This record gives sequence, structure tokens and C-alpha cells, in this order.
Amino acid sequence: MIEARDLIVRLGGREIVRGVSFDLAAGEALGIVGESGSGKTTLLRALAGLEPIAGGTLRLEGAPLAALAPRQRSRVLQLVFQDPYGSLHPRHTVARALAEPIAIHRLDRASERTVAALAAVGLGPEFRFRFPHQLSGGQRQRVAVARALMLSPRLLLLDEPTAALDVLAQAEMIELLRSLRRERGLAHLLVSHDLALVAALVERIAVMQDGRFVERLDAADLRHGRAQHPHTLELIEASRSYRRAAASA
Amino acid sequence: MSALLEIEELRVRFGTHEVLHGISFAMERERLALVGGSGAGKSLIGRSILRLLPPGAAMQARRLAFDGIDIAGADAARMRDLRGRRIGWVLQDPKFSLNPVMTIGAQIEEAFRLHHRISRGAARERALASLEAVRISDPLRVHGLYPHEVSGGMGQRAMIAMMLAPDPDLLIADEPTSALDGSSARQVLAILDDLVARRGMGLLFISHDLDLVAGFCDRVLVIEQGRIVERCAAAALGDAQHPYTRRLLAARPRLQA
Amino acid sequence: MTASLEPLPRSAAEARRLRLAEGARALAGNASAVAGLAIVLLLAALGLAAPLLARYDPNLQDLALRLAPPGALHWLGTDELGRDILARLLYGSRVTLSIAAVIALFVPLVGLAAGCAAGFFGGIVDAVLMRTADVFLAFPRLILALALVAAMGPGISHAMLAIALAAWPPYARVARAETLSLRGREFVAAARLAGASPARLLLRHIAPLCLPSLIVRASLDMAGVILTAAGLGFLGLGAAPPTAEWGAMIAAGRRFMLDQWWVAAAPGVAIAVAALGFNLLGEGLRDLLDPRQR
Repeated sequence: MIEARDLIVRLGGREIVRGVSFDLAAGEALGIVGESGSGKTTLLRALAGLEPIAGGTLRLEGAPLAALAPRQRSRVLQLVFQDPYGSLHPRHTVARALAEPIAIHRLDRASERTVAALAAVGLGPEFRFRFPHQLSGGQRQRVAVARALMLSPRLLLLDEPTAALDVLAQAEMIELLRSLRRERGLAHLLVSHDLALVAALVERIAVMQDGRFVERLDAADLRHGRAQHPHTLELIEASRSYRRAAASA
Repeated sequence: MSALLEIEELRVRFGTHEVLHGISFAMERERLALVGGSGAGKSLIGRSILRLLPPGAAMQARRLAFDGIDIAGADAARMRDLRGRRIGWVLQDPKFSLNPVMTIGAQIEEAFRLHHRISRGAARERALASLEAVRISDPLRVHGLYPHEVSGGMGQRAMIAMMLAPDPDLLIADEPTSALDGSSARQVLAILDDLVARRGMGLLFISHDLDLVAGFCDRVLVIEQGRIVERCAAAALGDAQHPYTRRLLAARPRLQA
Repeated sequence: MTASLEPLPRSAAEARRLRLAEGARALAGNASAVAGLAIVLLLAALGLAAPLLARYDPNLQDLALRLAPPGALHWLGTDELGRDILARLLYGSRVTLSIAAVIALFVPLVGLAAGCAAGFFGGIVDAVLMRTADVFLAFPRLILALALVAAMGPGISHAMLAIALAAWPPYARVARAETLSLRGREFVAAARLAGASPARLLLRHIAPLCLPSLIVRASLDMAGVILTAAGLGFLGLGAAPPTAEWGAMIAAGRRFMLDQWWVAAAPGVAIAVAALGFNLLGEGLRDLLDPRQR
């Protein structure tokens, strides 16, 4: 479904993504892990078309991405942003935010689709009339996922979807993403610095450092700490709970 | 000798809606964690101690005392004296808690000069020393940078350096690592660990991550919907009984199978 | 962070109603806004009801009673041609307020359009629009209005146009600044990802968020607009005589200021009150509208 070869993305003159290649088949899930500054968010945004690609090729369902008009691309892939507080327009009700993609593509039955999308993320129809400031962080993020589902994309890009949520909302989001994947067979591309989160949601993982993929491994390998590259091992170590130094005398 | 912090029947209201329902606990110079989901009210407890509640909030308590000093009835001048000098506060996102138009060095120096009578030269020395103490490898360079020019982890460490300048007795850390990725978070925790131990400070650690505080603090208070539902030693969390605590424990995905 | 404590709406109509009620409550709680609004509405009402309230025709001359002091017959006295000052004030408020209303309506919209376009598209669009704004901004407002009216000839509509041309650049600047900060926000990116066109992004997402600052600016600006209009009238470049206009009334009354002070004082106080009303309204609106957005 996605074929990326030697992707290069520049931001402000600097190369942030320096030659990344990967494949993603329909219905598959790939996780990209790395620290802040590794370039993973930039890579995701470039896939979504929010940043220009400076080098390499990117093919979406066989056709080069550049050839795809934004309207067509929006029916193939959608992105769930990290910050639930910023990704919803502060003055639009949930109904309006969800109906927007429908209106843009001139589809019908906006109201039905809206209610269905909300139900798919576990929110009742009464949420349609609320404003973002009347929702909790977890609810906002669910609305963001619902919005991403409105155009029935085949690929869901997720940028640190749980980073801004508390532990309980995180657990709920993980469950939601898992069940959506089961029900709809969507391909997922998940970016996060949280190894445990990624291992819980995807099968294949790529580790990114300084704009390059330094290792690829299975989720099972990651869970058992069976990694080879030193950076991956560092990340695994860092994800272990901090245990404080034994009190000295 | 009185406890470092004594709170009895703390209640906070927004208009007629009560959000904290009679919080009571005491702490010595130890590491106490306040854990709960977002909206549980844990940040409000920290803010009540500092008397920095958001507009529209009203607080009342039977007793709210820091080192024997009554906080609930203290006047503004008294609170100004306590805040910063004896009680420090580290927030979640250094982007919002550091002054964006002052260099990091200038802010730390200001913190020193506000609370100690020292010359500008001496303040600069101590600012550089405190940047070193938070394990910033190039203190001279970071001293001259603006908050937006440094990473989240470094900004947070600068924030800690600033808050520890006046040598407070109690540090309230409100989700200090929630905005950081794995290794930055570990670094910040290690620094807090070290500094708190060395200076014999009390640490009130507010977080939504039970797993995180389990390895870091001595005691844990679990808060749900404005009430304390569980009090136990960090080491004994595995035996916790309350369903909410068990939910929190189970919620965090673990890497090891 | 926490979910809101407000009542939660169960239908679109209820959501609208709750929002309006909330807005009305906030407005009522702001003393400055209420006072300002009261003054402005009162002036507007007086102007609208002028035919009913004025006891005399504003242009009716009674030379026998010229320069009469305020008294039972003429509550605010008469001017140098024996015309009732109160009547002229009431009719004059129509001129002043209509200039203010037209400016308040059109100038922020023009500024919004220009500023949003400049901020959103950047590049040459930004350069052209902002340099044009700079040209108009370089002149003091009254001087520019003077020059334009001198070129176009006197008259209320020319005065309006002149003031408008001098007034629009700051609105464009504000709208541009807001647009620059909004266009990088994630909800804009999300709309773009849904396939929204630039026009849609600007009209439905960005421009509505720029409005509060522009509204506040407009209210605060009105005082200055009124003074500029009065200034033009004072110089004989506003409404043509014998139309009653506050600025022209002051000009005419200048000669008699020592002995028949009421001829100039009455319109002067009227201008001051109007300016005060708009200032209070603007201050109140700023308290209400600005913090909410952040």
C-alpha cells in the first residue's frame, strides 16, 4: 500500500528525515519509535502531505504521492494528531468538526455518518453538540479519531495519539485503536516515543534515530528486549520504570 | 516538631460545585506521590498549598500548615515569602513556565538574587553551578539560550535549577515528566532523586502514572474524583485493594511480556 | 483539563441557546461594556427618534432669537442663526453615528480580508497588501482624510470614504498577525487533510477566530473616528451646510465661545459623550472577548 524509498524531508533548511525506506501492506500496522528530535513526526507529516518531500519516492497504492490531489489523498489516508487540545477548532461543535470532511467531499447523510462515527469511538450522539472545551482530553482525542474515520480511509496515521492523555484515557485509547483495527482492517502507521504503547498496537517496528531507521524488529522481539542496535537497547532501558538509587548512608 | 505539611479537610469549590471533598494528609521530609486521572483534583491540591488557585475557585480547610505556619489564613505578603523561598513548584511544560523573553541564565540568576543578597557576579556563578548540578553538560552555552531554543528535557532541568536556587524545604512537582520522552524523563527523575536526597527536601510528586511514582516515591496517595481512596507505601502498591488503584496499575502498558 | 461544569446541550438548538445565554450573562457582568453599550444605544435611539423628539426643525432660523441662552423655549439655546441647538444636536447625531456605523461595518471586514489573505498566502500577496497598507498607514489619519476630501470634494459620503481609507491598515495588520499564528495550528492542518480548499480554511476556520480582536479594535477606534469626522466637519469638509453636524456646529460656535459658550459647548459635550461610550464599550468587549480565545 505504501512504498517509501530513500525519503528525505527538510525543515527550515535542515535535513530531518535522511533517507528512510519502508513498505506497508494494506491492513498492516507499523510502529516508528524514537526520541524527540529523531524525525518521526516529520516523517509522518510528510506522508500526510503536510510537509514537502525533498528527495526519494513515495508511492501510495502504486501511484506516486505527488500525483495525488489533496482531495483524493484525504480519502486514502488520515492523520490523528498528538494534541487533542489543538486539533479541534475551538469554536466548532463536534458535529461541525465531523461533518466537515463530508461537506468538503459532498457526501450525503452527514448526520447518520456523524452519529455512526461517534458510536465507533464509544461516544454517544449527545456529544455532537458539545464544544471542545466541554470535553475531556480523552474525549477530544476520540473525536479526533472519529473525524479521521469519516472518509473511510484505508490508512490511519497516528502521531503520539496518547502522549497528552492520562494513564486511564491512554488505556481506553489503546483498546479503541485495537478494536478499530480488528473491525475495519485499517492499515496503521503509529509514531511514538512510548515503546510499550507501540508494542501493544503493532506487529512491526522501526527504530528511528537522527532521521534514519537504525533497526527493524518485531513487536515480540521488542517486548523481550531482543534488539541489536545500541540505540534500541537504550530506548528499551529507558522505558523501564525508574527505580531510584538505593539510599546511601 | 510539626510535620512539614499538614492538611486537614481541604475543600475546593468552583462556584457551588465542589471538586475536592475533604482532603486530609500530612507529610514529613519524604517523597509523597499524589496519583489520579486528569480532573481528579491532584493539581488543585498543589495549588491550594501555594494559594495559587485558578480564578473562580474557593478554598477552605480546617488546617493547612507548612512547617507549623498557617497557610489557610496567611496574608499575601506571607505567601509571597513562602512561595519560591520555602516551597518550590515545578510544572509540566517548561515552554509555559519559563519566561520566553529572558535567557535561561537570566531567569536562574533572578531566582538567586530574589532570595539571597548576592552580587550579580556571584549570582552568575551560582546560576552556572546550578546548571551543572542538573547535569547540563555545557552550562555556559545553555546559560545564554532562550527557552524556545532548548529541548523539553533541558528546559525542565533549567526549571528545576531555578526552583532549587532558594533552597526550599518542599518541592511540589506537578507532572514534571509527562511532556518528556523516555530518556529525558529518566534524566529528570534521576536529577530530582539526587537533589532531593542530598538536600533533605520534601517532595510532593503529582502524577497520573502510578507505575512511575511506584519506583520513585516513599508513599502514595491515590485520588479519585476529589477524594483520597488509597494510602499506602510505594513498595506495597502491588497489594493495593481499592478498585481505582488496581485500574491505574493495570492501565499502563508494559513492555515485558 | 477537567470537563466543563456548564450544562451540556442535547441538541443543536440547545447548544446555540446556551451559548447565547452564556454570552449575555458575561456581557451583563461587565460594567464597562454595559455602560458603553447603554450610551451608544441611547445616542442611536435619540438620533433615530430625532423627528419625534426635536421640538423645532433644525434648519428653522429665528433671527430674532439668535444666540439665546438655554431656557424654557429652547432647552439648549439657539445658535447664531437662531436655530434650536437641541434639535441640531439630535439630527447631528444621525450624521455622526451613521459615519461611525458604516466605518465600523466595512473597515474591519476589508482589513480582515486583506490581513487574512496576506497572512495565509504570504509571498507576493503578503508583500503587495502590506506595502499598500503601509502607504496608508504612513499618513496621520486626519491629514489623509483631509487630503482625500480635498481631492474629492466635501460631503458626508466622501468623508466616510476618506476616513475608511485611512482607518483600514491597522485592522489588516491585526488580522494578518492572527492568521500567521493560526495557520500553523493543528485544526487547520486537520481541515487541510480532509481536503479543504484555501478559501474554506480562510472563511470557516481562520477568519472567525480573528473577529474578536477586530471587534474590540473597532469599538475602541470609534472614538477616534468620531473625532476625525468632527474634525472634518469643523474644517467644513464634512456635511454641507445647513445640515446639522457636530463638528461644523463647534466651528460655527467658536466665534461666540466667550459670551455664548453653549453654542460650541453643546456639540462638544455630545462628541465627548459619544467617544466615551465607544471607549467604554471597547474596553468591556476586550475583557470579554480576548481572554477567552487564548
